[in-house]
Amino acid sequence: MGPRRSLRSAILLVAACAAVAGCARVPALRSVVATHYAGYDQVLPASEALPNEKRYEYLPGNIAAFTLSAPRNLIAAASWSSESDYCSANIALSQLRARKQHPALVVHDFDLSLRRALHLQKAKADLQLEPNELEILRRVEIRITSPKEYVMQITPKPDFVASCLAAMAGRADAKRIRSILVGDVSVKVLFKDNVGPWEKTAVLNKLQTNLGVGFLTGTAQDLSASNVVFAARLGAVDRK
Amino acid sequence: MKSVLIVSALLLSAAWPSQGFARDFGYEKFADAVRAVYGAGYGAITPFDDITSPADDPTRRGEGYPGQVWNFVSVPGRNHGLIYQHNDVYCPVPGGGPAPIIVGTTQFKNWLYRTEIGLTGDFTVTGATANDVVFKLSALDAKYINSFGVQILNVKRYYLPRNDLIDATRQATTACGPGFSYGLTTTLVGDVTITVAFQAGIDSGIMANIGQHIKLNLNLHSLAVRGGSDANPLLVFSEGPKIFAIRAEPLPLK
Repeated sequence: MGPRRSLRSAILLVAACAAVAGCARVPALRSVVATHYAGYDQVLPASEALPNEKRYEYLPGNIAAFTLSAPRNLIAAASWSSESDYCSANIALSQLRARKQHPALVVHDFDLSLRRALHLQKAKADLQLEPNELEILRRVEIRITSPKEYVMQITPKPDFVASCLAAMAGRADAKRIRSILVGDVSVKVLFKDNVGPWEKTAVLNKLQTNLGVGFLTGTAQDLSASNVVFAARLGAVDRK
Repeated sequence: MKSVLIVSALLLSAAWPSQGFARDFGYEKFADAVRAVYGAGYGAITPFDDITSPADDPTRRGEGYPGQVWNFVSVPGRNHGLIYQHNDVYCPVPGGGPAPIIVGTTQFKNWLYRTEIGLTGDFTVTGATANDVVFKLSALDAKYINSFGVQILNVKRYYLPRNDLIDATRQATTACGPGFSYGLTTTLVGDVTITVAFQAGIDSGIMANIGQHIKLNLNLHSLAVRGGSDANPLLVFSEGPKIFAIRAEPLPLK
């Protein structure tokens, strides 16, 4: 192998690393949120947005208890689990002005794998003996369409139930929901050919943990959720 | 009714210890998955439970409405999950209480369970004992099974704001007495499909027998549908809506 060819392989290797997001990172909705919607975090459980329900859990202005499931880092937004303890501001989403946000499409194409870039072929037997999660993936696609942002407004004013605020007072886990993102989220996972179901299951289990969404086994996975609250910006309770 | 419920609660609490020895690896993994998808605090409920539609139950006497008081035994999942075992001992909110908020949420698709069982029918999980089970199936049954998939579609979450929950559980406790330990705060309901893949060449009688066990164990009412092929025989159970996971808090709610 000549020097020029070695250089080309090295460049391909770097490109492949970038394509698979750092060689080892499993794609996650949290990283999509961090990259495309600065300041937002993922909230679980994902929830369909209800436009006319004044008691809705994820209304901007609500005071709600959240547990930090995963902290924010350089490449990923934090993930917060709603404890379903909350006081509603009693302002329906339809009373708030929605701001359009830009859609997002993130594709991780694993055909550009490190091994393929180096022209190494990994036998199926090797996979069975030592399954490598990234190597059985062909493509992961995360798409967010029609995103809208709802933020706290000066008017209408929140109309909290006093006894609810009293029950939440002093709780260290209480946050104020400052804004939310609502949109259509879809995730598709394609596996390479000739991959056994147990390897697929293991990877899907891991992906599911990272994404906070359900999975379908088989050669492809599709998850789609329409009009769903997929991220929120949380702040201190006393900050209006 | 009040006294019947209290007596039932006491009998139930006496009966739980004998059921507590066996680990259910299927439910443990299912509980972990529930937590991963829906967040911390959500636990799988066993057995799955029926819920009547709000339109057919305007006073919310049926099981599964937030604000009701219940008796559960909670056990940990494999990693961080939680399992709520129950025996239908609960008390509704007098007058029905506030109507829950019902929202669509993430569906739960095809979880496969296999790694717990060796080819000879022994459990491969560290610390497993002869009493252990997978979705309440013993190793004797489980050795014929290749995989066990759970798919839950049309998932809805029933919940209430904190003030409504506190009021409702207080009313239920006042009406039903102190024999209840948990307030139900959130319910996850969906259409459940369970697909069991058997080993090729399984005797149809054994397959039917295992299907009957699954039906009884998981509180399913529908008949299993046979599918697949000779090489990949399947039994498919499909029905809904079922309560498959909840959040609950010890009483009194504060």
